[in-house]
Amino acid sequence: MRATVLDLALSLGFLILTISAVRRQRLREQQALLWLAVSLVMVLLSATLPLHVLDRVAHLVGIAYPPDLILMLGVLFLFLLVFHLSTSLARQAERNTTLIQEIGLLKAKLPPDTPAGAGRVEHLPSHAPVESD
Amino acid sequence: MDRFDEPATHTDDGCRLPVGLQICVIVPALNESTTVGGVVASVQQALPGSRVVVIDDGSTDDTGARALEAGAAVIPLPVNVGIGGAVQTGYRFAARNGFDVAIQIDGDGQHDPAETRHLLGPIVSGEADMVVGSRWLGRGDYLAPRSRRFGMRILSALVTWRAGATFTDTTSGFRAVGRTGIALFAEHYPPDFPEVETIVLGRRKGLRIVEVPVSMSHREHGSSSISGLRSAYYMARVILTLLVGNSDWSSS
Repeated sequence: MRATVLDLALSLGFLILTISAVRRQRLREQQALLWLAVSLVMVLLSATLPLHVLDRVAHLVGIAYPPDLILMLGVLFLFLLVFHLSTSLARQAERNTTLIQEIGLLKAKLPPDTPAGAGRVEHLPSHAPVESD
Repeated sequence: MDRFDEPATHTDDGCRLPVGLQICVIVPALNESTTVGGVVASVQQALPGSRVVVIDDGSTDDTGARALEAGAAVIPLPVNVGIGGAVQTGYRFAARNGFDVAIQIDGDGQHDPAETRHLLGPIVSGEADMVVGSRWLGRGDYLAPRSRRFGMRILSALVTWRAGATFTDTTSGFRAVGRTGIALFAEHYPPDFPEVETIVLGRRKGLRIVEVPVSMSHREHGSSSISGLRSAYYMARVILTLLVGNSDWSSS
């Protein structure tokens, strides 16, 4: 019983942390939903600890030691999360590069003795497709 | 009919440049203040009337000022984006300003600007969309350390296989590209190993690519971005990219 109370307290704490982060706009919608879902699952799991739901599910999928189920799902979740962050990082880096290039092009300097028309420096609108999500 | 199956080698010397041909010379430079001025000056001597554009890839010295003094246009990138991103900036500049030919030449004095004419030949005559200057086709006496030559041979074999034509010097950053290639590279340019990958990418997109012999000197100053233990790591990454990459990079 004491374990259940401790577990529940931790889960509720995490839920409160998530909600306050969303309220202070520290999380964006997509991530906010994810973390809210995670904390709700945690609360649910700890609240139903005395009902042996976990043990039954573990038994159903053939896991002898029920806490291993949590461990396995947790590791899987973290793995997917890190992978998602890794791909977002790559996308961010790509966008950064495009922005840096555009800044450089906007700041392009011509040598003082450039004859009129030489090099024809003019900035046409970028054709880079704009991605939104 | 299908010239892609012939060895991609071109040995034509020199050429007469058509009047009005707009040439943009792309010079990526990172902390090359001692050499960049000389490179710009000799490019202008070799190709009078061309527009030399130095991409200052976040240098901490006065590379940009030196290049401007020497008469180049300078594109100052506020932070370092690496060789691929820097060169692509040059292609974007060339594409937006309507240049007919872009020539890539390193800012460290390794390439001899006088030889840009050899690169221009096949493009001016309409035989190729992209010309790569190769160290291994007989001109000059460039000799890389044995380990590096071994690596280059592996890359050459891989690119030859992936691109479906023979290429001897896949890491050469001494190139000329016509209008089709400029438009392609302005939008799609591999960020990590541009020299090697653009050959494969170009071929996939239907560019006619040939190699011409050039001589290269050893670097005047500074050190290659690839050295020591890193070269093994570099090789592993290039090989991975060549094997699993789809050679199609979007720029946004």
